[in-house]
Order: sequence, then C-alpha cells, then structure tokens
Amino acid sequence: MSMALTITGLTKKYSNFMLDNISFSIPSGSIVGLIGENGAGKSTTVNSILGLIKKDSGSITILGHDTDDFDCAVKEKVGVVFDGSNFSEELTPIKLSKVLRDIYSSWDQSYYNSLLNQLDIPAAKKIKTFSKGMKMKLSIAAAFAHHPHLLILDEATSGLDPVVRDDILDMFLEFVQDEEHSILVSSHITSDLEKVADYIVFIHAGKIIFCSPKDELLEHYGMMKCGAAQFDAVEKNDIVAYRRQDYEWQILVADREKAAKKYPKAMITAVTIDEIMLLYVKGEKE
Amino acid sequence: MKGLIRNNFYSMENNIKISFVIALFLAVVSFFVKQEGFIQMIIAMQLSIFIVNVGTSLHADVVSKWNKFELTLPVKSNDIMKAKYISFAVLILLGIIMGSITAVYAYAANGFSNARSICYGYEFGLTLSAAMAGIMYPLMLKIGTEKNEIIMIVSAIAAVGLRALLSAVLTPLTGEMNMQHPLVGIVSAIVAAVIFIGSYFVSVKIYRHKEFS
Repeated sequence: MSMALTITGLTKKYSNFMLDNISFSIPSGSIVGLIGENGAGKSTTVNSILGLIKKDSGSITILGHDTDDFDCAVKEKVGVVFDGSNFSEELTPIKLSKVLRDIYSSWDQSYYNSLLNQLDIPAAKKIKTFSKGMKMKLSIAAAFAHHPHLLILDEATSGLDPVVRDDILDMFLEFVQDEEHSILVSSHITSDLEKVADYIVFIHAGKIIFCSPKDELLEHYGMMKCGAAQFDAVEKNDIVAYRRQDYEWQILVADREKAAKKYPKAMITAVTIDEIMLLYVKGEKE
Repeated sequence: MKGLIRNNFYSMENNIKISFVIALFLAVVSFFVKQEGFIQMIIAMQLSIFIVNVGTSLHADVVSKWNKFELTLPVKSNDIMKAKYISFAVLILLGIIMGSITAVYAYAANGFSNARSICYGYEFGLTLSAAMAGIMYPLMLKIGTEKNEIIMIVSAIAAVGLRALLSAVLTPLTGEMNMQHPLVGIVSAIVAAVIFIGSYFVSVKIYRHKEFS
C-alpha cells in the first residue's frame, strides 16, 4: 500500500508543551482524521508536516519526498486549508484566482469557477465582507482548484453550518474516490470524521493514544455502564478508561463483544468517537 | 512570483490609492508655491509617501494569516521575500513618477533655475524611502506588526539620521556639515539603496528562521 504521508518519531519541544514521538501514516486513497482536545498537539503536528515550524527530531515524508528537502513540485500537489481565511481581506474570489493561477501551474480556473457556484460564494465581493463559513468555503474551493494529491485541513469544517459541512464532507469523499488522493483532516468535530474518515489518529497531551481504522473503533469499542459493585468486579485489564457520573460508572472497553460475554449483567453499548475521546481525556486509566 | 507580487498590490490597493491622492494633491500645491524650499520638500514627500504601505502590506499578511499560508505554496521562501522587495521598489518608483509631475512643472515654470532644489528633493526622497523600507520591513518581520507605527517612525528618524551622519562624515570633502550639499545627497541615496538591498538578505534570514504556530 503506498503512503501519501508518513510521520515517524516526530518530536517538537516547547517550554510548556511537547509533541512526543508522533508516528502515523496516511494510505493513499484514504481520509485520516486527527482528533484531540484543544492544545493536544493537532495544529503542531499539521504545522510540522507543512514545515511551518521546525521539528526537533523525526522524519516526515509526503508523497514519497522527505519534507526536509521539500521542493515546489511536491508543494504543488499538496492543498492546505487552515481554520479561517488564509487570504488578504481586500481580495475578491476573482482576484484570488488571479493570484493563485500565477502560483500553481495546475490551477484549474473552470473548476474553481464551478466550485464558487456550487458553494454559493460571491465571486466579486471582497473577502472582508464574508462570514466565517463563507471564508472557509473559499479556502476549500481554492485548495481543490489546483488538483492536489494530498489535502491537509486544520479545523477546516469549524464555523460551517451543518448543511454546508455535509456538502464539503461529500466533496472529501468524492476527492478520495480514485484511491490516489488522500486527506488529513484535523478536527474536534468528531461527528464529521465519523462520517468520512477511514482512520482516526487520536492525539492527547502531545502523544498518540491510538491510530486505528474508524470502523474497527466503532465496531469494537464499547461503553459499559454499571454501579459501584459491578465496577469493582470488572478486571482492570478490561478497562481502557473510566469515569464516575453521579451513581453510574462509565467504563470504556476495547472489545465490547468479549466484555458482553464476560460481564453478562452489565449494559454495554456502542460508542461514538466523541465518547471515546471524552473518556480518554476526562476519564481515569487503570 | 508574479502571483505573490500581484497579491502584495491587491492587499495594499486601497492605501496606494490614498497615497496617489495625497501625492497628486502635493503636485497641485506645488503649482501655486514658488519657493524652492517647498518644491524640494514636496518632491521628497511624494517620493516617500508610497513606502509607508510597507507596514500595511505586512500587517495585512499577518491579519489574514497569508504570511503563514504562503509558505505552503509552491514557491521558494527567497521568492516570497523577493516579491516583497520588488513590490517595495515599485512603490518607490511610483513615488518617483509622482515627484516627476512636480519636477516637470517646476522646470516648465522656471527652467533650470531651481534644478538643484529639484535634485535635492529627489535625493532626500530616495534616501528617505529606500532607507525607511530597508529598516522597517525586517524589523516588523522580527518584532511583529503590533508596533507598526513606532517602527515606521523609528525608521523615518533613522533615515534622516543617516543623512545627518553622512553630512558629518563627508565634512572634509564638503567643507562644512551641510545636509543639502550635492555630495551628501548622492552618497545618502546610494547608502540608502545599499541598505534596501542588504535588508532583503536580512529579511530572508529572519523569514527562514521564523516559525508559524
């Protein structure tokens, strides 16, 4: 399987935070969701990938090229969307296209125009008059319009209404259809990732907690809800994380089928990515 | 690089228009003012009025996070800086063009009688604009654009100080400390141009070591 992005042992130290030995890959044709609470290290990871901050150690390979000697030809194949608008507020989408078509040799003006229509972006209005959602849509249109092979989005769906978000998620799914394009999307809106991601990378306090196929997570992980007596009876090895809410104990288990057989009296339900993240971050570990 | 230059001018567009209006107003004022001292100051102001947009340019980049985004574009970091300095050079050129309106009118009205005054205006304007841009941009790149106005004032003072310093240094050749001496004017303009060019290399170095979180 070819990899669009491979990160190995990425480390970056700050005085109050450390990105600690991060490793994960994005197989071609897949969407990888990078999740974690605010300050977990998602943006630091994305910024390291893009060379916006200098890593202390580790290696990053994009489309087979080491980012230490990242050339323009590789950058041409990477589309980037940050949270908010990335363009001068004085520009209009028309002027923006005049800027970007001189920069990207693969710029597709007719595709850009069709994206502006599809996403209802006014072409002649100044960006400073746009809402946050509109700015995000423009950034996404600009990223798509040069036909990147790898799309990197940092909190790109935040600020969008559910309808537009859904349209954009559909665009992401369409983008990876041919198995040659890939997406890394960092987000704290895990419901979006549940819809589109193939893999979930969960980062917490600068460390990777897990990097797993999304379907595997949703199929296998489970939430056991029980009282104090039952909690005491649960083997500590079966507990990934737990937390107490009033008189109820919530236990995250890695294999809900196995747990259901082992603890037939306990109520074990399927979990969402949000619940997994929440229990890892706010719960206690055995 | 063409796209980067285009972006620089789009983001400064409104301010450049204001600079044009001011420079044009100064040109009209020069039609009615006959004193040589005023003519030279008007030309100097017209030459340097556009360069104040250097701060606007960087501030617009920071506010929109374009300065972070442009590093992800398929362009070299050297080219990003080159595009900036080419844009600044064009701003100086716009100032020269606007100053020339005043100069041409002054020549048409009075012939070569005030040629020295016109030359002084050009020398002073070029010194001010090239040195200001050369000092201002790397400082803003390093410190940030929050102290935009202070950096601009400091750069302007430094540019004037440069001329005063050179007039002192050149005293053995000019006979006295005279800021209006032709030699001081020419040397100041040359030194300012060197500062502007040197500033590009300093900015490239600062930019390469800059981190965007």
